[in-house]
Amino acid sequence: MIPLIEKEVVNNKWIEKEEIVDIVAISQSIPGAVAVNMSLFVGYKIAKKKGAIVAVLGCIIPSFIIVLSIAILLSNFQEELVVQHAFTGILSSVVALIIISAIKIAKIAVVDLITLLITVVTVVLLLLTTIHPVLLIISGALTGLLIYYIYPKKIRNLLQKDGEK
Amino acid sequence: MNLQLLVNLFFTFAKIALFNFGGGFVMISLIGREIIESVWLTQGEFNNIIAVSQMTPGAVAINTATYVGYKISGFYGAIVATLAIPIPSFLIVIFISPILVKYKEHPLNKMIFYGIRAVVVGLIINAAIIVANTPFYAKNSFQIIKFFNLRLPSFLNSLNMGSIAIFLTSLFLLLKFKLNPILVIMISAVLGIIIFNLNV
Repeated sequence: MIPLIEKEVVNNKWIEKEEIVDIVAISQSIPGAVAVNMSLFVGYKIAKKKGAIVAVLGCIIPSFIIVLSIAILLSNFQEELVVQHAFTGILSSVVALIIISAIKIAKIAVVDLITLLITVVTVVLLLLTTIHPVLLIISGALTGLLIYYIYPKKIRNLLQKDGEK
Repeated sequence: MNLQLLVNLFFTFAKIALFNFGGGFVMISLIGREIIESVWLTQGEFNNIIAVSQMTPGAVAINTATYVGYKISGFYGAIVATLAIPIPSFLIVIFISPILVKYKEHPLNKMIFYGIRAVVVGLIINAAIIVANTPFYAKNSFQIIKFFNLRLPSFLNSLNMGSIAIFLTSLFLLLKFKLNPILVIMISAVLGIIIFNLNV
């Protein structure tokens, strides 16, 4: 979906090519769906708050109509065996999709022993306790800050590596 | 229409959106917990929602919110849950992102994401485990226990080989042939219908 947005925005000459790279980067780093964030940024750039509202509505209304139609249709058929078998198949392949996505993000995120430890601890806590995931995200942010104060030298190396990329 | 339920739905999804770093799959981990706690949906309904959200075009977070909202509180539920997703992003884009852009290179900013990204990987792995639970343990003729009479631990013995075969096929098609995920999902639906209809 992201390449599609980039193409439309550049073709319409709404935003310069260089600027769209920044918009993609920040849309991925702030919370929320990337496509939604991008539509907000582009809309805001062109026509401030009104632009952002219009762009985001354009982004969500088609999905809303499609998903709502499927949800209404499916509530009549979900007891059918064929539907259940198809769904078992689909869920099996969704597991593969999720694992591939985890590997992709891990390549960027798990850069040293500490980040590996954070990842492992997160999984273990989620499996064994009822801790809320939001609490884990906040702890992750705090751990990052803590490490900054414990190992200032390590951070300099890390940031240097970032600069080389 | 239950007003209190709608308000509750709105704030639940706004909270999920506010902490949804790292894409749609993280949402499965976030949402799974909310739903278990609130007893809004059964595991089966939740699984259907995950499957449909992956298949339909558009942002997974929006698709999931629409479907969950509809299941919990009908048409108005769908509207409220869907609108709750972009509102936190809207506020962040307008008020916080100018600050973020300004301090993009600041070490503290980088360190916050250094920690968050590592947690996000854990949340995605957890999502894989949550989703795998249902198909991998589906009760039909492909459970290992029905084929062999082995003394395996029960969590291995009740695994469903049909689902695992489809999982491995998908992994292969995605990694080796770089097939489009939607196409792989369609293939796996057909495989599911064929395999699980066999009465071995």
